[in-house]
Amino acid sequence: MRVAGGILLMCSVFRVLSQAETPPGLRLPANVVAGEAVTVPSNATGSATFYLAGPGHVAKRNVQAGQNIQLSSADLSIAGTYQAIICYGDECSITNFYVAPDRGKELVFLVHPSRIAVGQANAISAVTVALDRFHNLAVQPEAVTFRATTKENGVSSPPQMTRNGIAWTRLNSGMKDGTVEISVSLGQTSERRVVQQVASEPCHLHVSAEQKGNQVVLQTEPVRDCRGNAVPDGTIVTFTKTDKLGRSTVDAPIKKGVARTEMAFGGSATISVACGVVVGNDIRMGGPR
Amino acid sequence: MRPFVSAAVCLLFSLPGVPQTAVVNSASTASLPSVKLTASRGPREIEDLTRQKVLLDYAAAWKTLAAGLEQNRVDLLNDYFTGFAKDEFTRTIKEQAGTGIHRHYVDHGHKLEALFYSPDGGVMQLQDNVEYEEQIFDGAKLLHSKTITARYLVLMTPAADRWMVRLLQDVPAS
Repeated sequence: MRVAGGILLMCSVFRVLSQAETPPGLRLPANVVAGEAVTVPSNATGSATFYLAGPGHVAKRNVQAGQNIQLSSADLSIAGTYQAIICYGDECSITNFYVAPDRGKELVFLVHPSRIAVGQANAISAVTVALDRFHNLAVQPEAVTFRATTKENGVSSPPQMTRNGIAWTRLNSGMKDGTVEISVSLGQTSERRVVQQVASEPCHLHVSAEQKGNQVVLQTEPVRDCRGNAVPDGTIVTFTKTDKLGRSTVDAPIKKGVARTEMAFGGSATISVACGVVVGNDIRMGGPR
Repeated sequence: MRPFVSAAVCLLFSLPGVPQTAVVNSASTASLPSVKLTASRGPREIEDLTRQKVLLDYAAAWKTLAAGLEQNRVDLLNDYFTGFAKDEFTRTIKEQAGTGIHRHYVDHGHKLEALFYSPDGGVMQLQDNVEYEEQIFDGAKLLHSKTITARYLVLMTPAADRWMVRLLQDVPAS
């Protein structure tokens, strides 16, 4: 009996000590959504200090007996695990609680590239990240819709669910040059980006030559790709002349659809033209054909 | 618009791939937290060099975050944090400094899984199962100490010479 009494006494002392070390914790709602204001009964019997330590917010307040602790929308705007700590003197009690992200309200939209040649398969990457109104990642699946719009037409993808806040797609570039607007929408929210579609490699590159004294004027026909899209101004066309003195080269940018240059002419010469990986026709001047 | 019709219909989703694991374990990284990376799915494979760089940069990000929260120094975030993550932790550190609070972390290691790597290489989403000990101080007074196992969702984006943490959000364990 003495042993049992001793154990009981020890247990009682231990219980009292444990209670002294850990004051009553705070009672917080099990489910808090980012931006929700919460009122926490403090249970404070005297003066206490309340600490809130979260992923994006830290606060320290004095609490008086009977006073509730108000956690505002701003206090709980960042999703994640928070520690609510209440200290009576040197004795502190902690309560962890989780603030979940709200539903998706904003979209981050990444489209790459911003400039693309026509007729490229799966060449445009569109990635969207769904965020709530406080820029937390909206981890609950949300239905987003991608849309591609040109001057002539527009087409939408079927709704696609985000996974861990992310949805993505790949698109082919169109067959006609010009801008295409890629957009993504989530409910009433949408984001859009513009991709410039340009002609692909030139097709049937053709140069003509006209001798003017000791100069030869070289000019291409309008440079277009195989789908008839004009190759953008500024694209470099290389003219090469080979004669008895050797080989000389001029790089000329396309202006208003054509490339033009003048080269010295001193007798028999072969002239060729190239643009990118495409080689055009050869011209032989001043010699036997 | 036919290509767009076909493209819109043929939306590509991430497909499961062969899991691959890389670890930060070289002597030069001895001061960094232990980080392991498993890449198992996504529209794009993670290249070996990218994998190694992400590991190093993510480990360095946690190291600088821990130092920033312990010393209440916002400037330490500059190297590896950007965007929302930087804004959020900057605010936290400023509030900590204003209230005299600081946090000490003992990092016990990270297990990263790459959830998404965008086709253009512009963004990577990772899941981090991390274990660390967190101590919260008010001045010199220890308020709380606990070993925590947590799961984070991370968005990283490439900068000039490193991967930056753009979003770091803890989520309930699945």
